[in-house]
Amino acid sequence: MENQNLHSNEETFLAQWLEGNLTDTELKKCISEADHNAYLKLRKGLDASDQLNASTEDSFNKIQQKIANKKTRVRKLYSVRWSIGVAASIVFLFGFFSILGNNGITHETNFGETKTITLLDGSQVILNSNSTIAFNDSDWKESRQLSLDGEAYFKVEKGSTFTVNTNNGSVTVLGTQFNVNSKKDFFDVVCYEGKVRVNSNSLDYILLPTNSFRKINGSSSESSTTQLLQPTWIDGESTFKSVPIKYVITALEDQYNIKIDSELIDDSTIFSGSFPHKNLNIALITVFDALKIRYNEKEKHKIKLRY
Amino acid sequence: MSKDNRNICESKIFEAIYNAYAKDIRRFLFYKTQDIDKAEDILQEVFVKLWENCNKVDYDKVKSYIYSIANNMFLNEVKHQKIVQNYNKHNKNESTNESPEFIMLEKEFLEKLESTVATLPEKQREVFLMNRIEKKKYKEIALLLDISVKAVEKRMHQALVVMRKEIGNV
Repeated sequence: MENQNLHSNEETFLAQWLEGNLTDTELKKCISEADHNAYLKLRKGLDASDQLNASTEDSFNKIQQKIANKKTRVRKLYSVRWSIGVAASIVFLFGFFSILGNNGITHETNFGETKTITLLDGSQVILNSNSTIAFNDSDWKESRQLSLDGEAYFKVEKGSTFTVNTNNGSVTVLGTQFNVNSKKDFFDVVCYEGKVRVNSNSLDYILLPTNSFRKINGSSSESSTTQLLQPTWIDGESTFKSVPIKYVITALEDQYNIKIDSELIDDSTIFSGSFPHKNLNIALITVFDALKIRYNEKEKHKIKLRY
Repeated sequence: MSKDNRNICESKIFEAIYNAYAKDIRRFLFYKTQDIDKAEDILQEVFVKLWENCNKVDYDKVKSYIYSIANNMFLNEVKHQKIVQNYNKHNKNESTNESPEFIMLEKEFLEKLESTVATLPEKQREVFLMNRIEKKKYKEIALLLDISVKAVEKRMHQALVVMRKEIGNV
């Protein structure tokens, strides 16, 4: 029976086997070992070949899915990183400016205002009108440095070097009283007590008490002496000694918050004198009458000068 | 030769590249891995990677690019398999599931096999392709060709004998 069956399959058993109607072991009975192995490999090769030639469309769909998934993942990560970066830069910039900007604390005065500030070491700064000082309180003990724009009177306690930085130069002292006036191109330092070193345009000047240093418009630094014990503006009066009138005008403007039109006069006229801080009329009379300059207030806070 | 500036980042171009090379890459990976599923997996990774780097790859060089990516990914897979096998050895002390009768399908063997199919006598090839490619049962083929099932089986049997002879003892 079996023989007959085999015989009847003689010309078809490979087909039967390939279709799965005949097992590998049954096939083994019909053929040699070498043939058996060869056919097993052949079948495997045919299966592989089928798979290799099959459509790659499914894989492409999967690739598109993977790309889509990755995209959103990447975007998420990206936005998180981005915001961390922004946050870090903000923190960094804050730190950067607070350390290097030396701008931890700022004091400023308005027109006609003076302000007395006591620093951490007991030093005093009296700020004249329309002026600003800034300093960093965190490292004040290591370096007593502040920046000044305008005019201020310093009573410095003894200690480490005390430096006032201005656009016109820096003033360094050990413990003293001095006045610094730095406005635009006008720079005036008066020493009232102790010793002051002024560094301007990389030149050093040592000021002894009653000495002063002045620089106007980037040139001409002259020394003059003062008999005063402290600047007069502390007591409500601005005093000038041989100063071009335009700087006096600036001082007036700062003090009274006015605009002075000096187009029609020679603003390099030298002025010596003072003006009070409390009364504009008297101030104008004292300054301009002496120079025979007429003034009129065309509109509020606007004064026109002429001869 | 002027440089081809076609942008791989355009999905149409990308798909065209895929259609042009996917089968070859899959085949290339199959010869290396001897595992059609792994070949598929790596194929997908290759093209995901190509998409990610679509801006950096010249259209002219895309073929060599995907082949080298495929090769590198295969090598990484081998490295990974070695680690897995080592781990299994040390921790489970079990033999790997690679059977001793594992049959290696070389590139040459498969190419020979496929070229042999093409050279089969017409009647055998007809039946053979209907069965293998169109996945038709012998009965269906018999109906379609209006011959007996036995005749179909005979032709199929003969086709296998011819192929066995052609390919030789491999």
